[in-house]
Amino acid sequence: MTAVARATKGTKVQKAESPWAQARRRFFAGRQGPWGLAILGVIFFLVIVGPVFAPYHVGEVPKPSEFVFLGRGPSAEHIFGETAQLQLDVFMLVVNGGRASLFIGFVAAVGSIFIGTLVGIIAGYFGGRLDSFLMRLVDVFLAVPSLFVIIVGAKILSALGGTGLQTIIIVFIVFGWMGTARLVRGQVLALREMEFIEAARALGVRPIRIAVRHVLPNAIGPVVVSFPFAVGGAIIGEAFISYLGFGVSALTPTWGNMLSNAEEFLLQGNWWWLGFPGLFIILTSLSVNMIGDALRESLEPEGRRA
Amino acid sequence: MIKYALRRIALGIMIMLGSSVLIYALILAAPGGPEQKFAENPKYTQAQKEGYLQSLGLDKPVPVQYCRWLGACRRDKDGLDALVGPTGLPTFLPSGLSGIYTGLLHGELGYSYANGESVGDLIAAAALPTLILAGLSIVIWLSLAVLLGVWTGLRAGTKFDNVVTTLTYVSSTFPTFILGFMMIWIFAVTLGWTPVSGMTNERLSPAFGSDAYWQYFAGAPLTAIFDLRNHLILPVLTLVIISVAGDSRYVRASVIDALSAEHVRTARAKGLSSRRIIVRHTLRTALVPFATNLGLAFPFLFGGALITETIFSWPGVGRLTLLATNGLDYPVLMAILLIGSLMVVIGNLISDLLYAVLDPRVRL
Repeated sequence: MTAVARATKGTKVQKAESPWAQARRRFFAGRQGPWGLAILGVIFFLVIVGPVFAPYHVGEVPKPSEFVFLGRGPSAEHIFGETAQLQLDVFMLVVNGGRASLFIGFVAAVGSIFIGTLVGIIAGYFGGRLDSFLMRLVDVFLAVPSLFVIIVGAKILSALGGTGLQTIIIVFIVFGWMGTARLVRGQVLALREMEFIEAARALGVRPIRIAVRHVLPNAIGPVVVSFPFAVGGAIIGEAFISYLGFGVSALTPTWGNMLSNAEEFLLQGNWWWLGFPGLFIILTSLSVNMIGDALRESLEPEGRRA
Repeated sequence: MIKYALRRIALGIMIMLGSSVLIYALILAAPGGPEQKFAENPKYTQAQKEGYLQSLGLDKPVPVQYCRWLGACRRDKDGLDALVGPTGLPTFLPSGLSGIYTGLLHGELGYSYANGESVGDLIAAAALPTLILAGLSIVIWLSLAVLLGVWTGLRAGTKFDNVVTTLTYVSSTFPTFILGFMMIWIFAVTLGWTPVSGMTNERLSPAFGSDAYWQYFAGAPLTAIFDLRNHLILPVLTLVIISVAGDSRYVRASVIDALSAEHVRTARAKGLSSRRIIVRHTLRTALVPFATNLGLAFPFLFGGALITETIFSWPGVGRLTLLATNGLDYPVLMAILLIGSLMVVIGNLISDLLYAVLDPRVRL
């Protein structure tokens, strides 16, 4: 028996860790990723099951025990205080508004990344005229200042009658797909020349199947990284645009349109009306950024900076 | 190099044409055009409606309307004749050559629906406050970013580096408008150190930019400047806090890269003083990529302060945009979007060309 065989006899053959498993291990080994997930998890938990913790039934608006025009600060009964004017419970507004805000953020991010990935794969894989046309289209969309055109687009859509959540989602998708498209195209261009793709082509695999089965899974890393940033961007964008009054109408509370009424009362000392939704927006933004950065470090270790 | 520059400029012109089509299409889809006038008033006859639309050129097909708006078609001719000016030269050339004065290409931006003022004048009046706010912020945040980036880069891994990097990271994830509210709440409302919003103290001075303001400014320049400074503190602070983190992280990473580069090791082996190594060999290589980023700061001067301007009621381009959006004032909106795109395209051009000049490897 040779020395090598003796040495390996007792140990089991270890299966190589898949790239995704490696990435997962790196993600959870760091500090940013788990903390980001934890913060976002708490926000989700509060927003979804929050009404259960409210000391009164969801369906009924508790009558304020005393009318105060400027509202009242946090108390045992209303943990986030009461708004000025209508004296609504800020906690319930934050919880209910959060559901809409998070929904908008996720749907807009999924939509724009889906379209961007589609355009990027088509442009990168099929190349030629189609590619240069699509990339010039990306250039044009990127040239128009995004926040300006998003505000104008949201106003136009709501003037045409869409004041619900869909308005803002559509605007974010229409003006939000370009970055992903450029990213995916670059990945696909690099992958297209690789040998395993050539092998698949030589075997006669259909182009669509190559694109979906072989190119997409290998190009998806940077897209995964950009997802949390897209979610955060859409949530903050919605908040700002609804605050301006061009987005979701006040009938559907969101973190954004809560702020637009609260602002004038901030100057009179009513900080809780604006402060609590503001705090939730900040925490959401912080957590998705942490998750995104942790994903980048774990999925693209070669690009890691000291 | 010249060939590269020409190719980039041609691409820029193409992109500008594309974005003008995009902006035109967006506004075309919008409600509230001239037809609105008839929708509300049943007294107009069909002939009057047609005459009115004809006088505005709205009876023509959309591509012709676009071409006229752009100034590449004459408004008094149809068909191919419209492409040639009275001098016999193509209409898209400057007015001096083509004899045509209408359309965007000849500087005609139109008139505001809201008050009939020239769009060019409105934007020029709003551009100065934005330039003051955004320009000052850029200067402060870029110098601060270089300072912090170099400082933390040279001390990477120390406690100081950790504290600064964490702080700038957290502050950079703050949404601008929330940070603005926090600034107002802390410094203006609670502490009372600064004004809440606006650009001038309305009780003392006329509105910024008016003739009366410049008279007041000439009469008491120091008071006016101090007043301006007081109103600038919070918005500038907001913009600086939000933007400094990204750039300082960028500089920090380049400094760390440069410190481990081979020419720096050689310099060390030669026994050069560490001061000389840092200034001559590290910072020079580290700051080149940063310098090329400067072109990207260019569009910021026009449209970068939209959120901050809104929160602090700063009478700039951002606020003009919101007013125009609110009132569906399309000529103003189209002009702002177009100028914004032009700034982005020019900024990218500057950055690409600067990169090609500073980094000889790009000049292929």
